[in-house]
Amino acid sequence: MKLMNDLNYYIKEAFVSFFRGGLMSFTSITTITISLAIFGMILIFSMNLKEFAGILESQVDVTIYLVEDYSEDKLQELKDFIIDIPEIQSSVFVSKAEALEKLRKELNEEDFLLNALETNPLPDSIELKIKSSLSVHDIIKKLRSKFLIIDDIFYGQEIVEKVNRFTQVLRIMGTILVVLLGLASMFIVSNTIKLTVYARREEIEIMKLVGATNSFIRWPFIFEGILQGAFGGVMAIIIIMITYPQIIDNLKSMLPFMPFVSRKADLFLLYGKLLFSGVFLGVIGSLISVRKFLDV
Amino acid sequence: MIQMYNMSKVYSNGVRALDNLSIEIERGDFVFLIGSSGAGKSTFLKMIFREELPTEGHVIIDGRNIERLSDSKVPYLRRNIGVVFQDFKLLKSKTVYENVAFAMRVIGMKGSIVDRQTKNVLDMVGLLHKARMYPEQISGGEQQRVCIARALVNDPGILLTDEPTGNLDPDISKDIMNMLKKINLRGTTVIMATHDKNIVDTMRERVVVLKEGRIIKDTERGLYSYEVNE
Repeated sequence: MKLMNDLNYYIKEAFVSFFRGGLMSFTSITTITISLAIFGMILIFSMNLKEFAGILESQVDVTIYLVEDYSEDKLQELKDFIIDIPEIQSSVFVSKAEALEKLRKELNEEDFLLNALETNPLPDSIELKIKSSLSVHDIIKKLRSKFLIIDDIFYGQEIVEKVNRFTQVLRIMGTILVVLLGLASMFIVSNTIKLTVYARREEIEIMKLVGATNSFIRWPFIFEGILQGAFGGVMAIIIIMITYPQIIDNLKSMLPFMPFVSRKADLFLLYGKLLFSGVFLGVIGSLISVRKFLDV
Repeated sequence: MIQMYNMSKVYSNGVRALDNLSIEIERGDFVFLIGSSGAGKSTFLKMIFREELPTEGHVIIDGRNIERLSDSKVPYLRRNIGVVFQDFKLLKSKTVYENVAFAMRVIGMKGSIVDRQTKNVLDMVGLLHKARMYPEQISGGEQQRVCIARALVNDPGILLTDEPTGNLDPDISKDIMNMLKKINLRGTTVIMATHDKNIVDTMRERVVVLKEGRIIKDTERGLYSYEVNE
């Protein structure tokens, strides 16, 4: 009951001060909006890149080439071993005849080139699909050391590693940018709140003299920070809601192979993150400025 | 009960406002604090509601040593002390009613109680009809009464007043004194710093004379001219 009573007071005070703040409130909301919109864009970009990397990874094909002569027992041993590895999604045995046939199909009209061959130069092979590129190295190492019937192993190692490296660089740079923007927003929120605190220092002094507790004095300012942060967050969400579909439309014709993320659940999670970040910036910003002012 | 033992206060600019001062004030006492400007009257009052801390010695209120009070306990000490400030400290942006109600709101009182009690004290100081006015729309004397109403609204055990009749014409100051006496008779300790000879002489209460931060006289039923001139 008392809590509701106090809460009511805090929120009312916060709203009054928020609207009285005018230009300063507007400035800090704008800063938060811009920072969060950029943060959101970075999140979206990395989300798409992750999706892209995921698709690339799911297409990771490993081809095991077998030696010319081997016994059926040894082959069965290898097949059994492969089936037991959980990271391997599927495996298909391709005989040298099948491989040649496949090659012939891929060459299409130039298949006459193959006619010049007297014998089939292609080895028997096993094609593997692996769930995640991260486990590729280990699997390959294990296979190589264990089975002598393996002549060579080929896989799209380079592409996967490049994508992984790029994602990592992007993540680091994005984090740095977001941290800088976050600090700037916090600084501006804290300055805005500092101005409201300053404008109301007389009131705060009297509150203290008649026996208001520090937390009672502090809460309205914290709510004001929350309000600014939440407002900025909502604005950023609106910006992204409007611009992102347009960006997808424009890029789709240019990059038809790119799988853009537009699942509702992913986007809602993103919006949630933005709103939360806004509120967080607001709270920290106001705490910084209120803390110093309370020693009346 | 308010007790001070060998208390001195030296401000950061080096001014020694109070000098080795000891006094006991019983619950329900009415005390006039007199002395020329700069004698330490305001600092004396500030010590009691812990706006300032003593440099040496102790201030004990109802058995609690206030310099050992943690910051988080200070608000609760102040809730039991009403203060009428020399400069009123009213908020210009709030009405008379809001200025008084504010003092109850900020200690977390419920709306209905705040409303009843605020109207009560405004009636007591005779300002209920000006409740909706802003401080700048009323006279200095009326502002002072608003300040008194705010000091009383939380029904404090101790009332400190700094020159409360300084800006008032004699009729009104008589009214205010009657009011303070009434409050005092209900059991509130009243400590009043003043220059007003007439009031001190009419009331015949305990008179404490300060000079250069020291108590030079403490008389049970004092008279202004007698205490100061001797």
